[in-house]
Amino acid sequence: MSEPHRPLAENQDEQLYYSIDHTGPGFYLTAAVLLAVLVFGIYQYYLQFRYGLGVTGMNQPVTWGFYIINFVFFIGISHAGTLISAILRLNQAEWRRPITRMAEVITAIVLAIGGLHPLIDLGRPDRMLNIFKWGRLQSPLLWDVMSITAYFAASTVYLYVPLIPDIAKLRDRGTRPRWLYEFLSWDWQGTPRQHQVLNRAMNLLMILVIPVAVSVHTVISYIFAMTLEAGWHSTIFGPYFVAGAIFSGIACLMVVMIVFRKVYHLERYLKLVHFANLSKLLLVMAAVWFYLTFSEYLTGFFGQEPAELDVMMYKFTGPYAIPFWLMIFLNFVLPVALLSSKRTRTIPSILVVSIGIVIGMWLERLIIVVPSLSVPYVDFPSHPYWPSLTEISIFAAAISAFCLGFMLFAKFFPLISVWEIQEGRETAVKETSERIASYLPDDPENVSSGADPALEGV
Amino acid sequence: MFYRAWIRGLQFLSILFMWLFAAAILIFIPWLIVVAARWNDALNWTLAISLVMTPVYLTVSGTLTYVFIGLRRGAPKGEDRIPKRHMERGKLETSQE
Repeated sequence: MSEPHRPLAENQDEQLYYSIDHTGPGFYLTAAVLLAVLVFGIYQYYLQFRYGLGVTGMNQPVTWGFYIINFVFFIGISHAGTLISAILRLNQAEWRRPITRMAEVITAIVLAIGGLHPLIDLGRPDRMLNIFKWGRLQSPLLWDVMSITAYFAASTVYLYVPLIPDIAKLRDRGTRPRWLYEFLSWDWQGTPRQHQVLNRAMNLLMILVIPVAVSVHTVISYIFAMTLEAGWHSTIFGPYFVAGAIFSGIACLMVVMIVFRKVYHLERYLKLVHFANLSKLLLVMAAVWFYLTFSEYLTGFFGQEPAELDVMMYKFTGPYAIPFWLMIFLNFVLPVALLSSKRTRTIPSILVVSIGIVIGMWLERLIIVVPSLSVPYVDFPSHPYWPSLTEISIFAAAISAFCLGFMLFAKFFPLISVWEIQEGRETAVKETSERIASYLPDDPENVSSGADPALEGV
Repeated sequence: MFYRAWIRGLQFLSILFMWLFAAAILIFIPWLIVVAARWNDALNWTLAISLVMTPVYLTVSGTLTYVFIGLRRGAPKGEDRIPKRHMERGKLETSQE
């Protein structure tokens, strides 16, 4: 059967529907494996729910382990999306078009997964309901609940609103389930009035989402920084956490981009220039991260406060020395070594660096959370922490849930914004040329007076 | 006809649930202020945090409602309406030829 005739612009971007139109055995096999890991993790959680937190590796003095590490890690990854997407949109960076959707999807999925971790960390999750009766809004823990809920709401809306024109395209293609696309497209027909509404909403959301995203990780840092615990009580924890979150977010975005580019043959859209631009951003963030890490440890070390030094030595030369130095290598040495030179800035090396940074940033969360608890202020023997099978399998389940969520999204919606690509083709080249021309000095022949025409009459 | 009404109903319900969620949060926050006042427990901090959080939920809910209603109002009506292409892929192009 021959392919039906479509307008050129639609045909050009047919590849963007590949993930929706084609479901091969590889999809089902991967989904089955991920589902099995997820189900095993849920079973392990059931055991924890039944027998209590004794099944985990957490004990006195280390009462925060994998769950809180993963909570901070996943919420950090969530900054990939909305924040990066909003910043690129606000700056009118034209190379953003094939990237923003994936970034926004990462945010929505990891926020849902990360937000569950404090609940998993509770031995009696039913007592969480007490927060509705007797919550204390001056507690940083409740700030977390509020800010993550607000960020989740804002970023889900920020993912959904630019998705509407593409949902309408799927509706018009007759993609099943029809009722879903009909319901989610809100009668979108691409009229000028509808475009105006969409643009206004997106402008408002991108301005709203940036401070909310920054506040989320700042508030998470406050959970640690507001205590007097050695290694936690730091004034730079807010920016340190936010910088780390953006850093790990970009790395995760690059991993996702490279994997889905390969799987769904998106090489024509996700080009080397996109990876090169994001790599430069990654390199800058590696430098910022190292600068903040250096400042954090130098000020602690310079004060020679005994409790602070104990925690620091526990990290530098004690049981956490390997994760600490591996973190420095993966987050700073490797990116600088591979991404600084154009010759080594290839897609395979970017993948290696990005996976390294994701692991390195997870280690950073481990290094922040555990050693301060292992070496307590009070007279209590120091104790390293080792996770149990329950914690490891719940972590694996969380990663599986992320991959599965992303695959399911790709099954129902395009991973690259089709309408934004088409809009870019039709209007962005002209708009960008006009914008660049407006930056350049005015032609002397066209300037009658010395006054700026934009300011005339002011 | 019934199909369209069903879709409309779902869309209306989604707006309703969104505002129910926002309303629940907007009731929850003053309740926390009441708890803080009753226990004399750092009321000023509670008020400060409430002032920051409340507008965020209102803005998100308001924006989404604006989008939903704006898109519906902006859609062409009656004769101008682009025909729904609920048919097998490719049929539209065939019918246009």
